[in-house]
Amino acid sequence: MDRHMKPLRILFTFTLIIGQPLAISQTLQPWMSPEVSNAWSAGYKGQNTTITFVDDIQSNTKYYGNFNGTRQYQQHGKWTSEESNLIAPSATIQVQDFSNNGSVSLASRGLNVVNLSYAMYARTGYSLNQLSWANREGSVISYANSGAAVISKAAGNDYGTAVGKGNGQGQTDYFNTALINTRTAIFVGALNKNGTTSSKANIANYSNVAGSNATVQQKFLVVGVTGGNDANNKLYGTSFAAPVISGYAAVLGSKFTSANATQITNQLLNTARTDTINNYNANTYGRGEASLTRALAPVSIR
Amino acid sequence: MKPLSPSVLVLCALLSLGQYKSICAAPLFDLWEATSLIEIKQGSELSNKMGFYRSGGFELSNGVPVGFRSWYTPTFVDTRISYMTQIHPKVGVIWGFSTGENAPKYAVDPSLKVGLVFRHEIDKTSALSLKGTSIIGGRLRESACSANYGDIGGVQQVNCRMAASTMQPSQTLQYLYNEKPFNYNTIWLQYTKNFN
Repeated sequence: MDRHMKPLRILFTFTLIIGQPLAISQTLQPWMSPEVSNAWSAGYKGQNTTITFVDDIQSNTKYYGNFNGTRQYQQHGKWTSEESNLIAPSATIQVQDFSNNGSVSLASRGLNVVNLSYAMYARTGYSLNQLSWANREGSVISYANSGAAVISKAAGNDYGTAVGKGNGQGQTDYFNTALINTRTAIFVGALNKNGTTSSKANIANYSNVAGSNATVQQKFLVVGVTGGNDANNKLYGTSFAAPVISGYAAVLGSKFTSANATQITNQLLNTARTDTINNYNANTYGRGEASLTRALAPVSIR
Repeated sequence: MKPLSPSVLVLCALLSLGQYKSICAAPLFDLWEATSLIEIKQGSELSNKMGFYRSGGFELSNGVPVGFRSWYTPTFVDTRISYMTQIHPKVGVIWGFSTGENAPKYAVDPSLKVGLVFRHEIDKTSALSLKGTSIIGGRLRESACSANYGDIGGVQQVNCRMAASTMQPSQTLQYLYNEKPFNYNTIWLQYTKNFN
């Protein structure tokens, strides 16, 4: 029995068309949920928080897209970190490239969020105790267990596969499996759009789902992934759902400065909405669509 | 002869009960002859400022809507009455008061208004007036809310209007309104020309 996990990682695929890179500008973006603009109306936007991305920022594999109003051509990790930065512009952004298998470092102060827009696949059928992790994944799992950081994990793009289960190719994302019973991991699936009560969303056809595992259902959120601003260069995938949750966590952390990662995680999960989703069910949507507006609001006021 | 205002009648009635009844004799009566009502107004800039927020609101974390209307609607709208008493052919004294207003989350204090007006007739059809007034009191003070943020933040004092914003609750308190009337000290210079 092979006890060692090969450090395979699968980058999620995107639909892309060759285009011309343009200059960069920053404005509030139409692809964001309307709740982000409401939450931005006053106040802080993620200061004193740190979001760490484990992703590709060095390879020659690049993609065209547009998140900030101008078309860019850059690696997967540049896209995911940019997406979170646009939601929480005052958060500190760190990126650990895939070439670095060392432990993920956290900031010593303020809320830490770790964004994982990747998977660790191996043949379906192993149990977790048959596997060992590199320092990088091992550190993240440790943070999720101890509550040292909010862990925003892309659920995966295996067309309706339940988190923790094997896909149609006989492969399982064991990183998902290892994070299921942790304190602060959130699995993030993709909706086909940002839902509202008058225009409800559905699960994106490529997105993984929560499944029948009740523990996963309690830790599963969905967000709208609309691909960005460029009609010819769309960036789809749960890779771009996880950074939204990472950004939301940072905004929450800058408002509730005494809250720890577990409290931030629970707040995002507990305030998710089901009324913005067509035919909501926990097997598909877990807790529902993340709502930054509700996560920022009080329980009661007088 | 100009009729006395109800407030003067009440004042004279009260004064006539004691040793001051003579004050309601001819000199005061003449003084009131020289007094004119120059302003009666319901509402003020501060009142209007808070009225702007009545249509606002937000949702609680469970989606229950919270509207601001009940917090920012007063039981009685601030009302001001002002008089001018001419004490000299060219000089008048301006005086008056406002009632203030109270709502659950703000109050406008009652106020007194005092001032002087000088009028100089340049010729038969034109005149120059200089008026100065001060308002004593009338301050707007907004109150904080007590918000329960649950496990993530506990109970905190917060600006009611910003309880669901991205701002730290303690940081929102600096945005509570606490200000004087915008016209608490004014000087007017007016030129009047009458057309024949």
